Amino acid sequence: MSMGIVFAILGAACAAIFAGMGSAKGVGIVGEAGAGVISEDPSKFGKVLILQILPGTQGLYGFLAAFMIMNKITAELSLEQGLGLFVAALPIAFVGYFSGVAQGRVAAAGVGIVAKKPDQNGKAITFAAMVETYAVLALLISILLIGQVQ
Amino acid sequence: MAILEMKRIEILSMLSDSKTIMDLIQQYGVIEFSNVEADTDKLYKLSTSTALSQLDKFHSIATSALDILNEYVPEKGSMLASFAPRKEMSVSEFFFKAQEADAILSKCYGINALYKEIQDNRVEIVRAQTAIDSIMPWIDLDIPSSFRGTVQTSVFIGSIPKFYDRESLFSAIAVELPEVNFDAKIISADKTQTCVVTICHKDDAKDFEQVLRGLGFVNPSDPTKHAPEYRLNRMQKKIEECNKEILNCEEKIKAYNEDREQIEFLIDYFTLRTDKYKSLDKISMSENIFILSGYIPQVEVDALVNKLEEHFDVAISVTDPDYENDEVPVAVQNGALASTMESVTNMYSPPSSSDVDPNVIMPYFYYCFFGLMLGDAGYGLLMVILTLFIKLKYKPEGDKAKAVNYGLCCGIGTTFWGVMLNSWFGDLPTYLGITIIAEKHLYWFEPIKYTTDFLLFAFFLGILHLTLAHCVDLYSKARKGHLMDGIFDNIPIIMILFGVLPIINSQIGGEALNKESTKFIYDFLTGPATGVFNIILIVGAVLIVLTHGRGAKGIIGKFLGGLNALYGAASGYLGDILSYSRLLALGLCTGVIASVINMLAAMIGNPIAFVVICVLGHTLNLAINVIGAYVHTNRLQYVEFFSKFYEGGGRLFAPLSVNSKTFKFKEETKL
Repeated sequence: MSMGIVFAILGAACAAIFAGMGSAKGVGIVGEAGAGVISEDPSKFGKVLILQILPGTQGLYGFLAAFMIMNKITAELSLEQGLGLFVAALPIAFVGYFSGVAQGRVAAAGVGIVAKKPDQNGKAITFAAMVETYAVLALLISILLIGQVQ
Repeated sequence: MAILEMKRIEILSMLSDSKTIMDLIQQYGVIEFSNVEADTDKLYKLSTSTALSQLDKFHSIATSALDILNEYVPEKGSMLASFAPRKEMSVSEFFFKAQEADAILSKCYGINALYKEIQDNRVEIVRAQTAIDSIMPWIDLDIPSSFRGTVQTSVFIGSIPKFYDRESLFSAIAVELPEVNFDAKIISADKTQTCVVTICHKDDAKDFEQVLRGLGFVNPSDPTKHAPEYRLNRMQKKIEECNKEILNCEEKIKAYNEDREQIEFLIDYFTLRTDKYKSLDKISMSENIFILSGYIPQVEVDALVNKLEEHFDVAISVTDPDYENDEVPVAVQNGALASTMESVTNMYSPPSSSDVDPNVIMPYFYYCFFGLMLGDAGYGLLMVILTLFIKLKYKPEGDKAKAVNYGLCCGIGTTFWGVMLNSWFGDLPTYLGITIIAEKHLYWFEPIKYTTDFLLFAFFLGILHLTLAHCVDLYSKARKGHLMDGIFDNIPIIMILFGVLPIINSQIGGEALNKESTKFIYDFLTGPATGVFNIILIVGAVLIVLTHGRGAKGIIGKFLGGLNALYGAASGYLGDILSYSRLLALGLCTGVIASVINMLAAMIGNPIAFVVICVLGHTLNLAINVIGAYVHTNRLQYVEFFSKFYEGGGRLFAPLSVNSKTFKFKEETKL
């Protein structure tokens, strides 16, 4: 196995690991906050669940980037190409982690909105979706960079 | 139809007709009551608080009775059955049934009482169980624990908080009282306590007890005159009785199931009356007349006024509402497609009375975006089939119908884009060895192979969406009589949005569009038209500098204001357009995860495992991505689209109406 392939695999792994970690942490934070609300009023489950799933997309993005890098791995991958793929994975790896956690916090705070004013949950969702933009942008750059590695 | 025009209505009539008129208004459901100030001492207000709290109590009793009934006799029927419409009932039937309200209410009291009895019995069982737990260590004792001795002897029954067997206890006592004769029997012993019966001569009792106390001896907390075994039997019998009683009560509750429909009616009946009393609170009356006032949509005025004038002596005045000083409620009425957007808009904020109704404009881009984000024909068809099934089988009404239509439209959008992007449960057809669309030109492109094309397309859709928003703003401002403001604020922005298209194209791969399917776009963006785009861009920018500072004072202030606006537009709209890349991100996600599920399923090489993994995996993928698509489509509407023209902050029209769950009136009204 060439060093190029090793770096490409490292990149794919990083994308999946960090973005997944961010999502896991984010979804976890919201879940904890949500369980408190559900213990008082189980009928809000649907609204809380939507908020909880929001920070989960970073994990999917990391997974997506990892998959696209995997598709690029061939036997004759050079060291330069491998390094390129590794670096291309970094935006979604890092931004995925931090935006996942931040989005989790916002969504957990949004659970408070759902608890007090259930009809205002659209605003809670919008606040959380604002954070996601940066994960989307990072994924975008990762995908474009992966595409650039010829 | 969009936003309905509101009128203020005032109705004055004889007090003797008030009840019938209120019922009629409630059945029509078109008037939202406002408070009538009693500004003379001839008018007074009805005090409804006692009646309301009474109704509230009855309502909660009926609701808890239904909850209890649901607990013991779960209602049969599928989950989808909740989409079924309400049963029809005529007004006369309603009034007939309403007479039985007291009888049904007493049944509800009965159910609640039975439930309380069950709870009480459960508490009794717990109590008996605790008693048994405390009896168990003493079960081998064959005398009552309150036994204190005979004429010559003293008996001490109790526990020592330490483990002793017979020898160690004897030696512990003998060390202190070597000359005293005594006997002791260990009833039971464990790590925490030893239960003992000791006996000694009455003359030694005092010393003996002191020694026992020194060891930590205490009498049982509940000395009784019965032997433990007798008490155990009694407790067990009690538990049995309680259980029997619980079963008995449960049977009685189950027997009430035949009254379920009546109880459901009763809940609705109390809801209706509560609503009516809340509105009654707002009317004013004198000895002979009453006055009510409220808001009514213009379209409903004639029907109601005619009906009232036909049957009663009424004086009615209909005037324009005072938008300046009063918070006029907003009602929207839309066709089947636009009405599906109402829940989305209201979740953001209901339109204000000066807004253009966004529900009319939104659905096209909304379902297009939703479809692109989910982007799979297999998933789309599943949604279409499910919603059509609900629609045809249960024929839902009202908000439920809107929700089902919403799902149907989402499904159609998803199917459309799934076909265009050739995604059928990801790449499932290739695993099954079938080709759904063989001809390359029959679908557009596969996003995973042409990500940059997809991205460019997303940006293009974004630009169209933003342009639409600015057009709406232009229309809205023109309607309010600020045509020039509308033109200055919107046209230059639209010019810039279109002017940047070739730049975006050249920045993203450039050649990406130079393929068969998208060649016409590529040719257009790179051909002679490029110069025109550049001119549009520059003119747009210049116009922004010239016009957007018009609010500032002085020529320099205006110029600086314009420059500031240009900077704001450049950075703000760059962000807005980039935001549409989520169409690509979410669209790719669904497809790639679906493909990975197929790959995993095929790896095992067992047909049954293949089916199981596919069903589970695709269900999960669909569930996660439907929520993702829903959230992000909404976000594009709220943040990118609404921010350009929509004010919101309106108060939804809340008329006094028949707000029932289980029945609806067959005829509009019959007096």
